[in-house]
Amino acid sequence: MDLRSVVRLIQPAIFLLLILIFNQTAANAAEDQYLRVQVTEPYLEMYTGPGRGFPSFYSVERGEWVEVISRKTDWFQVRTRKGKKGWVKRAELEKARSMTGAQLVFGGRGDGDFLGRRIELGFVAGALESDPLIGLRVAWYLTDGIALEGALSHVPGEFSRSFIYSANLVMHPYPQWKYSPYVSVGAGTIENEPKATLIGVRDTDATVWSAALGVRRQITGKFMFKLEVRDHQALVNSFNNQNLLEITAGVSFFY
Amino acid sequence: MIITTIRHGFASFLLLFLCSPIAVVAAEEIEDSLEDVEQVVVPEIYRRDVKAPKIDARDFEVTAYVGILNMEDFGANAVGGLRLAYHITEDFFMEAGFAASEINDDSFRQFGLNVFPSSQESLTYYDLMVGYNVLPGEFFWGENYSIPSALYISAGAGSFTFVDEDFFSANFGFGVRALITQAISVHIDLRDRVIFDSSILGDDKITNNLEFTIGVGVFF
Repeated sequence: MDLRSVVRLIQPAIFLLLILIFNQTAANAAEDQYLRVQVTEPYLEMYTGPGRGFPSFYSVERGEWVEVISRKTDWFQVRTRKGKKGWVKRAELEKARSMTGAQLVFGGRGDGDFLGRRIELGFVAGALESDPLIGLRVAWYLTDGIALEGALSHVPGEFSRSFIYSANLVMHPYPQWKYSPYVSVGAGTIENEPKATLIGVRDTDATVWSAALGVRRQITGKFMFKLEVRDHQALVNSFNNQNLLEITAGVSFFY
Repeated sequence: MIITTIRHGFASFLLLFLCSPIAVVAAEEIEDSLEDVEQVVVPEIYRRDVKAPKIDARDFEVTAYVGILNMEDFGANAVGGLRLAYHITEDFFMEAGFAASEINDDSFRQFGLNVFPSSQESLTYYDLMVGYNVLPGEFFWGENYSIPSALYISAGAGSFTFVDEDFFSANFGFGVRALITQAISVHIDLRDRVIFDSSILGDDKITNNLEFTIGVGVFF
């Protein structure tokens, strides 16, 4: 592949990057009103970067006001009245007080920021029968215990490629448990396309119904790990059901 | 713990129950005496739970990258792609990537063997990865500039598509991210995309497909 085709290939990417960079600069130029908070603890430590490895270089004293400029994961960039900029931990910043005197809460409702969130995005990998499977999962939580999930799976099999699209209902009877078990039922379609080298086979589309058992474990913050066993019933034709067992491990996060 | 709580609860309930007639009487007396006095200032207290305003969070990152992808047995070719990452915590991130490259069977054609319909075939892959920032830190540029950086490891799964066939791959790699500004990052990545049953040459075999890339990312 020569350089020109590579450039052509990543052209949209470069365009997108430029738009994003422009957006960033425009946002920076706007310098709109930031949230102002007053330090109520004896001091608030400012670090040089958004991570625990960065050294702390300044302490804001009690009573001083700081502006909250931006956020990166659980770190906030603040600016003091004298214009000193640095990063503070979320837990520390939440001890400060806003202009209305109200307690500050950034992000979700308590519980280590885990429960009370509504959208979950995840990746899974595993096997469908003896073929590998890779999947994307998006879930919308109606409550902590009930979610609607959209699932897209790709099965790059030895003899065929398949895609499974399905909508699932997921129920966590004990969402507060460390290992939260769940059950799920779903419906969708499976599209199967045999490899071109195989002769005499054709594409098959079928409706699938599925039921699953799984377990979820919080890794840290809003990040989690999942294991799931799902049984698909593919209605291949009016005489025939095909049973497909899917076993996956996945990671996901609450957005 | 629970028993103590119940016991306390029960005790206070009992106390309340026993004292309630007295309390009612006392309250009535106070109310009667207060009726004559008019309250001068009526405080209007509004209590509300103020939710902090949305703060500009930059946890998403789009990266465009170019580099070299070496497909075992089928040559090394330029690769270009796009990754979207979400930084979940300061340690973990998840990312999805898509890229295009090419694959060739020149080394077989030298001996008169055609593995692919044409010597150069196009290839695409996608991957879904989880990353962990093992060594976060800073790079120093002279005395006055520090560049936040991280060495990360990543693992995930993906799929190659070439000559109209898909091949599952398990991916492992590591990389370095340096934040040139708060919003712009530079990446250097090395990844091994392992195909477990590459049946292209007949028998199944495990192939290690190494990729070296350089990318520019934007946080938004």
